[in-house]
Amino acid sequence: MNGKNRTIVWGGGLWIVWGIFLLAAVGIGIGGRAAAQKAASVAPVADWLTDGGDIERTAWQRHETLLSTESVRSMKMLWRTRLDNEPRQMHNLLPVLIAGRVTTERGPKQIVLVTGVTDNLYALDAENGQLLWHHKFKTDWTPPPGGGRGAGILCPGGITATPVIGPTDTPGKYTIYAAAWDGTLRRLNLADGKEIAPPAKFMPPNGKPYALSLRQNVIYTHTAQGCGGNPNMVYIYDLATDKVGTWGPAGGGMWGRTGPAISSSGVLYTGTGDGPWDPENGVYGNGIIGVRQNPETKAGELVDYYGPTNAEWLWKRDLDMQVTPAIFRFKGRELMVDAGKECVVYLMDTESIGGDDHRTPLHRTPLICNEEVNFASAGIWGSMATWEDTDGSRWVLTPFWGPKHSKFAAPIENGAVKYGAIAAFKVAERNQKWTLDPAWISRDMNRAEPPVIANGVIFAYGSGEDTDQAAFDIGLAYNHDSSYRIRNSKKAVLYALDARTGKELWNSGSQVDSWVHWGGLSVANGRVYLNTFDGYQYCFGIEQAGDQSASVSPGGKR
Amino acid sequence: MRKRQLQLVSRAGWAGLLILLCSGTGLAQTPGLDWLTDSSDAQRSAWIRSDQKISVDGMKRAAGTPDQFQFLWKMKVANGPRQMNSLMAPATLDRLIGYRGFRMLGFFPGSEGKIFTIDTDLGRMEWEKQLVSAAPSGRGTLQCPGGMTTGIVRPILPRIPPVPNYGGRGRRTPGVSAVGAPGAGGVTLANIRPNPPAPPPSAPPATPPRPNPANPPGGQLGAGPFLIHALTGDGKFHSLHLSNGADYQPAAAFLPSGANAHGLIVVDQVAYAATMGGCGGAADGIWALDLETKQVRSWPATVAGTAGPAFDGTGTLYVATAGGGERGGQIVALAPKTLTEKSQYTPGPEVRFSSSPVIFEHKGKTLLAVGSSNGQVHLLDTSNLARPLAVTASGAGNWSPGALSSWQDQNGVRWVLGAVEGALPPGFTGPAAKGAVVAWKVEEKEGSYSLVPGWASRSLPSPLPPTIINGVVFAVASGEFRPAQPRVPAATRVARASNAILYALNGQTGEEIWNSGTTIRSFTRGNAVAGGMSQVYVTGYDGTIYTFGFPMEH
Repeated sequence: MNGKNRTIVWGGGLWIVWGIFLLAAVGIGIGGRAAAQKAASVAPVADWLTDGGDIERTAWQRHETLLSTESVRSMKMLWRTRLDNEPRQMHNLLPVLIAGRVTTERGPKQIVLVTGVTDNLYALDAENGQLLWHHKFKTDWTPPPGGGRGAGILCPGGITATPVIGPTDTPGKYTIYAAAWDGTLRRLNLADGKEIAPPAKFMPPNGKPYALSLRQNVIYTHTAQGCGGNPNMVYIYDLATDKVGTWGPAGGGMWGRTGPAISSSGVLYTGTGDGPWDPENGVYGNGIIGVRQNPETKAGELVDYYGPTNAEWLWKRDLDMQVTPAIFRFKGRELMVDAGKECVVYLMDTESIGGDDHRTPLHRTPLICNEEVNFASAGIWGSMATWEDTDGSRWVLTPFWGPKHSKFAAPIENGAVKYGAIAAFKVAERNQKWTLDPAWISRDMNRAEPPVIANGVIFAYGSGEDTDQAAFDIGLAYNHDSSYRIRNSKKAVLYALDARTGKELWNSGSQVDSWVHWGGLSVANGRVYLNTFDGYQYCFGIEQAGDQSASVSPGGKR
Repeated sequence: MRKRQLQLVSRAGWAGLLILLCSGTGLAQTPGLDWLTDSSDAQRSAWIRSDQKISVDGMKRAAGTPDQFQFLWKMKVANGPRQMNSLMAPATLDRLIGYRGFRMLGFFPGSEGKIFTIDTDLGRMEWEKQLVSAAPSGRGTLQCPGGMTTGIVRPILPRIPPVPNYGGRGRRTPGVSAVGAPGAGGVTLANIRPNPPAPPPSAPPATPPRPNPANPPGGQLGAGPFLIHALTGDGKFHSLHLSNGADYQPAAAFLPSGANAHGLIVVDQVAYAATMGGCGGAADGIWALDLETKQVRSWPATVAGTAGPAFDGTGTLYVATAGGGERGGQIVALAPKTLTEKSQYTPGPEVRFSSSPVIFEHKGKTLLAVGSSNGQVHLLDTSNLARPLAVTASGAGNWSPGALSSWQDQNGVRWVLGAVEGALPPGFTGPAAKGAVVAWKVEEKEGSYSLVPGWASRSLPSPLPPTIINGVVFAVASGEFRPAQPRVPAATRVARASNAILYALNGQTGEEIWNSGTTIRSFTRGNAVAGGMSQVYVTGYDGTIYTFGFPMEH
């Protein structure tokens, strides 16, 4: 090697060294970002511990930072997992619950809890959809042959109430509270799915309770449809004393999709299904009631009620008040919104939801939809939603089915609506007069379902479900056998909308292979969850390091 | 239309839900609540037995308030008259749980062969249909107007609806507060009953049960079919799905084309109608169409009254004949479907029956009342037509064409009512000189019957047969010009008619409670006006439907 060659060799060696240095620097940078993202993905801060997001059933994920109106445009399916729960009628999987950081034997995990109607609970790793554990409730109770009284689409049997997750005194440790098919209250450790207490008597078996709620060591729910031959009641389980308070029956049942909404003073609110409105005789059909636990006796006590002035009409046309309300604070007052099949939204003050005469809410919108006055496939179903904007304005959202009413209009309408949409209102107060001002209507969705809100984005979906209950030639026989509706249901589609305009930012296209009944959205930590009748649990979100888009086989195994 | 496999399903669980949804009433026949044919039911009683709002006390209590019985809505439909025929009284359905929602419907027939199905809560057209008819076009004659001459009907079972014992709809249990003992769960656990045993497997019936459209399996929760029926001017019998008017099956041949039919009724899978006037070459008489075999039978007679034959609980028809020449009128009992004569009542050559009969149960007997042209009412026992139980004195008045009406009040008093033109029958007093509704009480003492004059209404020119809803008599001064000379042309009759007025009277006293004033701007004609579910419908000759009732906020 002469001096030139050495120099060249030295120069070449120098470039190699710099190249290695640069590569190393880049590698460290990439690894650093990955580590940071991985750190972020294993150290989330948000939970979704109850159906509807919170006990007020706002459906608002307040702690979202990853999803935004910008990032959501690149949202994708991160994983989907097939679960082996056996469907009952049109029911399969219920809306999921999410605990952002659970201490497990395998380290901290973000756990997605999925409930299967046939007495099954599944815990999935939110990172990848892998099954962490599966638990099926054991019982000595035997379901009646043929399903028992009222068995059918309206009374499927099994678990119908989304459980609720309660934090414990130990950070990272959570307890699941679930109402099993046999009517007992079950308590399980979220980390491993083991029951931590014997089954406790709660409700009659084979009924139809709705999503559980937990407030100050008390579980709340209500039942509907008279399933299993049981009256339609409010149930309040006091965990400290193991006493169960009740109130009811009421109307044709209380069947808001996400169960009751609970105010800051512990009053449970729910709409009541078909029945006469006759408060003088203690009968509260087609209205809204407020029930509270007596702090001394633990009994359920009626403390407030509201009956629309056209309650007789609502009963006559089967336009139940069957939507879970949403409760929120605005301008110093605790307000509530609710709705029903008629397709009118009511704004109420929880101080007195119906005013002095129990028939006067703060505001009642005009008809938003259901011009045909149909009891199925039209109207508002499921639950309300609400969120507070950064400028302090308060938004109220409602899904609705069927075409928009020809006389209803909003300043922003994102296209003609035929099958359903989301309608958004702003709560306004002018000279002590309260209104819900129409703001926008979303694009058309095939049976728009209750939305959730996260960081300025509305997530909504069209369930694709065939919601008809009668046919012109065979009448109600169409609804006797779920096979008609199952066969005629279409694929669900998930949408992301700008919360201020309703403009569509993203949709799932044809990625979801089936339809949804009795489902709902859950959102936390950059991910949105939806499950379908064919047993798949879907996770959509922003791809992060460590994510593995995958499809998992039945049983939750890869 | 989605393709699907038609299934008939009947489950005990759904039957229970039916009770919750429909207060125990089925769709095809709601005893005493729906208007199913001329004069409401197979007995031609024109009596809606119960109502949540219409009652004497209810109407008086609400009088003068915004919630009082009042005019609700009107709708003019596109139907032109044929001679003196125009819109007719509707058949009604108090509650349909249909593919478009819960509905209260009125099926209004038009003389041009049209059906106007109206949501009678909202006064909104649900669907309308022009029935195809091969009858020749043209306006017909006064005696043979052609077109649709009889109303829409819903299938009926022959049984006589019971006297009402009205109870509230379900879900009236008051809410109560309770708490269980610690660890015992909710108090509702105490009411749990053992699971019902699985039903034993049942052998298939040797003969498959015959589907009865009058009462589809499973009631409203069954698969139906849920039908209405109509008779067009070409004599064809139509069966349509009542939810949207689609044809259930091809129209069946029934009467000769151009026949002047009255009193169409479908009882236990057989359609019956009376023909009059010799129109279209059709012999006057009673006709029967077996809906299963499509066989047609007839029984010749000059039928009296325009409401058609009346039926007892066994399905036997009773027909009033007008007689002719030296032959007096008769009441003839005919066997269902075959129209074989079973028995007769022949009072004598001087008696010409002029109304359709009305049948009712009274103290264990099935009785029949019918009016004759000499102003009498004859009361008969259907088990023994040979001799009347009672006959009122003859008078100068004539019965309005149609049926008498009948109801039983809460005290067990049976009333027979009639609309009379001209002077009041003997035994009645009052100001009426141009016509009225009169009411007799049926009394029985030691096996001896009598029709005792009860009350006569205010003057009602050209009255229609009265309708009774929960003890309130709805009487109509039709405004029709009814000349003594039968050949006065239709145009003259229309020109000389006046506006109809609807009255509500206390069924036990005849006291006027309410009237429609000048609301109705046309005359009306036909049989008793239809009503039910707290509403009453008057169809004007000008094609306008007027609805009266208690307002409900929608």
